[in-house]
Amino acid sequence: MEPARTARACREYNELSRRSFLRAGGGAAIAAAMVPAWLPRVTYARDHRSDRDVILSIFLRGGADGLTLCVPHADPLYYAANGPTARPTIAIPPPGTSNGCTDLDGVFGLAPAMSPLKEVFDNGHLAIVHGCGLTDTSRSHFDAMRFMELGQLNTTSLFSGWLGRHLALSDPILPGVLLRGVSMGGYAVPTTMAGSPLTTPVPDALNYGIAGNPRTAGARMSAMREMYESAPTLLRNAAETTSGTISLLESINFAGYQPAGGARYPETEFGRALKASAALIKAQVGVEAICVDRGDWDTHSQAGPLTGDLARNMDDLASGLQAFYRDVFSSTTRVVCVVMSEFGRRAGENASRGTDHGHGNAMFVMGGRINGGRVYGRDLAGQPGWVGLGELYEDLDLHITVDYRDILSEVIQKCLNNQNLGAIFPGWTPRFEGIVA
Amino acid sequence: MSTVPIGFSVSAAELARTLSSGLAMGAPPVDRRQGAVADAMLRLVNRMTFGVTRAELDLAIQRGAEGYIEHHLHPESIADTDVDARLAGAEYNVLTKSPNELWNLYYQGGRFDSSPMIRGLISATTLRAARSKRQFLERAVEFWSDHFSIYLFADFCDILKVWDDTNVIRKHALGKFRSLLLASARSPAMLNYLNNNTNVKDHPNENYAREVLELHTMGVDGGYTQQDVMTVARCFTGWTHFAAGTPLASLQYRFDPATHDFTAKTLFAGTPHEVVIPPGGESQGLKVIEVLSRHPSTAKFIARKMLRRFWGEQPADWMVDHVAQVFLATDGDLREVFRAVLRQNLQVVAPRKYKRPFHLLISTIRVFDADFASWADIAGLAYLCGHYPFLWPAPNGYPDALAYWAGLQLPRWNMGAMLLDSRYPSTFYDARKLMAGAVGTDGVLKRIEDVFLGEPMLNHERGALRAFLGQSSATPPWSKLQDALSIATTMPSFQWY
Repeated sequence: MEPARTARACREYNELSRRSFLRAGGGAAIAAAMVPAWLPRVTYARDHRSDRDVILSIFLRGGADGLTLCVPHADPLYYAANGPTARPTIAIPPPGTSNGCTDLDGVFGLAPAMSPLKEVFDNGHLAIVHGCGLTDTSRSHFDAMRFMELGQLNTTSLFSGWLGRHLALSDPILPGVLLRGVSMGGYAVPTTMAGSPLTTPVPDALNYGIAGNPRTAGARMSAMREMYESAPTLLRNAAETTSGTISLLESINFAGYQPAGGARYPETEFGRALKASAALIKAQVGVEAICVDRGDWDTHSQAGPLTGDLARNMDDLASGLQAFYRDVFSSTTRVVCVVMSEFGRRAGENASRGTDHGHGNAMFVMGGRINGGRVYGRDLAGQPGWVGLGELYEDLDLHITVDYRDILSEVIQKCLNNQNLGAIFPGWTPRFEGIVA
Repeated sequence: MSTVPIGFSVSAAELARTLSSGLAMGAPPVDRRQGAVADAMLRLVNRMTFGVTRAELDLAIQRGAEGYIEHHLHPESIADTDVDARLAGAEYNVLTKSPNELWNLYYQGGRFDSSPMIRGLISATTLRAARSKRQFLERAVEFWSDHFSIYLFADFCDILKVWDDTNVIRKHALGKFRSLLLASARSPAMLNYLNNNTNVKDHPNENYAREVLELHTMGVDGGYTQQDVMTVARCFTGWTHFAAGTPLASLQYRFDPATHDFTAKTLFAGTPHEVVIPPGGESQGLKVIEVLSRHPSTAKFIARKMLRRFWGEQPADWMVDHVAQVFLATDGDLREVFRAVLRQNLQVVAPRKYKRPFHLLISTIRVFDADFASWADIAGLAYLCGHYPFLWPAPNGYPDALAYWAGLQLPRWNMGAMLLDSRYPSTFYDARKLMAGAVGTDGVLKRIEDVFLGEPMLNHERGALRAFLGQSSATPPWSKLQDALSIATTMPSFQWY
C-alpha cells in the first residue's frame, strides 16, 4: 500500500477544482464563449419586513463522519485500542494534546479543521445535535439521501421534499416575487426542494445569462417564452422561473460583492456558493430558501481527518460557514442554516484507515434565534445527554436517539413560522429539543 | 414502413395504462398525427441513436424495424471508417494503453499531468456519440458507463477510466453481463474508486461490496442484508492492483493471497437463495460474481433500468418481467437482452423521454452535422448543464429521470446559440447548408421541422418562430436564420426523443 500513498501525496487531487479540471479536459473555450448578453448591475434592496427567517440548507453528501466532525472526547470508548469503536489511526486526539480537538463543553470537541466554528458556538449561534439522523436501515447513500430529503422514511408516495413542501405551504416573503428557492452551485433542484414553487438551480451566479448575439437576446428570449407556454407543466414552470431568474440576477452585482464583517470565503466551489448565497440574501429580492451541496464525505479509505481529504473537507465546510456567519449575521439575525448528511460512519476504523457506512451522526444548526453554544442529544433512555459508544446500533454504529425531523420541525415552526408540520413531515410527531429560542 | 408489428400480448387496457403513465409524469402525449406505425419507427430510431438523422431514418425504412434493430446489435459488421480513421490520430492513442503505460505517460520528468488522458477519453466519447455509425453501441456504452459509473475525480481514475472505457465498458457492452461485471470488478479504476484495492481480511473495506450489490446487480431492494454486504466484502478481500515489494504502484489487477480471507462463507443465509462459498482464494470472489450475475433480482434490476433508458421512464411490470426472463434464460447475454428491450418499442409505442444534456448536445450536433477540431472542448457545453461524461460524483451514475433534469434550463437554451457562435473556435461546419434551398418563412419553418424533429412542430413553436422571422416570401438574411436556428434548438419538442 505504501507506493500508492506516496503517489497520492504527490497528486494534490483536491487542489484541482472542477473548473481547472474542465480546462485540463477541454472546454476552456466554452467558458470564453459564454459571454452573457446582459451585464450587471447595482445591488439594491427592496424595503420589506418579514417575520420569517431565510433558510440555508447544506447537505453533506456521502455520509460525513460525525465522530470526527464533533468528537465525543470524554467517551473513553472513542479511544479504545480494540473492539468495535477502535479508531487506531483516525481518532482525533483529546483537547490539549498535539492535534487535539477544540473542546466545546468538556464532553465534545471540534476536529481541528472544524474549529473555525468555535467562534459561532461561543457566540451562542451554533447548536450541534449528536446521535441524530435518519433511522433508515439500508446504509445505502441513495436511499438514505432520498428519504432524508423527502422527509419520510421508506416512502413510496412522496415526491416533494420537506423544504419544497414548506415553500409550497407558505406565502412568498415578498409579493410578486420572481424566485423563492435556489440550489446554489447546483445543476438540479435537489430532492429537498422538489415540488417547490419558483425554484431553480443556479450553477454559477456570475454567469447566468442568455448567450449569443446580445442585440437579439431579448427577441430570442421572447420567442422561447412563447414556445414554452404549451410545454408540459414541469418544463413550462422551469422555463418561467428561469426567465424570471435571468432578470432578477441581472440586478445583483455578484462579481463586485464585498462581504461584510471581515469575512473571507474559501476559494472553493462551496465557498463561492456560500458567498453568492450571502449576496442573494442581502439583496432581499425575496429568495427565502437556498440549498448548497458539499460532497466528498464518503471516506471509506485514507480518511485523513488531520491532514487528508477529510481535514480539507471539514476546513472548507467550517471556514465557509464561519465566513457566511460573519458576513450575513453582522447585519441580520433572520437567517437559519441547517447542515445534515445522509448517515454517520461506522464507529470503528477499517484496514484502509477509513470508515464504512454507519448510522447516527451529528447535525449542525446555526442561526440568530438558535439556542446555541450547546451540544444536544439524548441517551438510550431518552434523557438529554450523549448517546454513547457503549451500545452500538447493530453492534456497529452510533445509535440515533434524535430524529433529524425533530430538529427540522422546530426550525420550520419557530424560525420559518410554518405551522403545517403535519404536511411537511407526514406521519411524524415531532419532539422539540429546545434548540430555537 | 408498414412492417412494424404492433402488439401480441398487450391488452388495450394495458396499452392505455402504459401510455397514460407517461402523461402522468408530464411527458407530452405520443404524437399520432402521422399514424402509429410511423411514430413507432421514429421513436425506435430515437431510442437507438443519439439523434435522428435522414441517413438513420432511411436505413430503418429500408431494413424495417426488426432489421434495423439487428443491424445495430451487430456493430462489428457496421463499417465506421471515418470515425475509425480519426481515432487512429495522436490525440486518441491513450485509449489503447495499459494502466501502467498510462501511469508512465502521466508521470513524466517529475510532473503529473492527466490532461492527455482526459482529453483523449472525452474527445473519443463525444466524437463517437456524434459521428459513429455504430450508434446503438454508443448508446449501450453510455448506459453501462452510467451503470458502472466511475468519477474521473476519484483517486487515479482520471488515468484509469481510460483503460476501463476500452477494456471493460466498450469490450463487453453487448457481451455477457457476467464478463462485464467481472471485468469491472477487476478494473483498476473500479478497484480505486470503490476502494477494493485496500479491502483486506482484518477489518475489510465494504465500499465495493455494498455498491456491487446495490448498484451493479441486485438493487437496494433485491433482498440482501448488511451481513451479506460484509460477506461479499470478505469474498473480495485481496482483489487489488498493489504489487507487494515493488517501488512504484502497479496498476494491473492481481489477487493478493496474503490479504485474502480464505474461510468458508455463506451468502443470503436463511433465504431460498442461500449459497455456501467453500474455503478458497480468488475463487470466492469469482463465485460471488457468478451468483450475482444469475440472481433473479439482478435480472429484474437490469431489465427495469434498460427499459427506462431504451423504452420509457415507467415501464410496465410485464415488460420488466419479460426482459428479466430473457436475461435469465440467456444467462445474461446482453445482445439478447437488449434485443428484448428494443422490441418492446414495437409492442407499445414508447412515451417520449426527456433528453439529458449530453444527449441534447449530441443530437443538436447531429442536426447541424457539425464537426470540430477539438471534440473535448465541445463537451464543455454539457459540462455547463452538469452532464460532462464521467463526472457524476457518486457511484450510482447520472440520473435518467425527467424530474432531475427539468430544473436547469438556461445552459440548455444557450447550447444552440453557442454552437452557432462564430466566436467559438475550432468549429468547422456550415449551418448555412442546413437552410440551402429553403425559400421564405414557410420554407424555413418546414426545413426546421424536417431536420430537428422529423414530424410537425407544435403550434406555439411554429407561432413563435414565425413571429421571430416575420412572414415573408423572401428568405431571411443568414444572421436572422442563425438566431432562428438557435431558437429551434430550444423548442420544447426538440427536448424530447
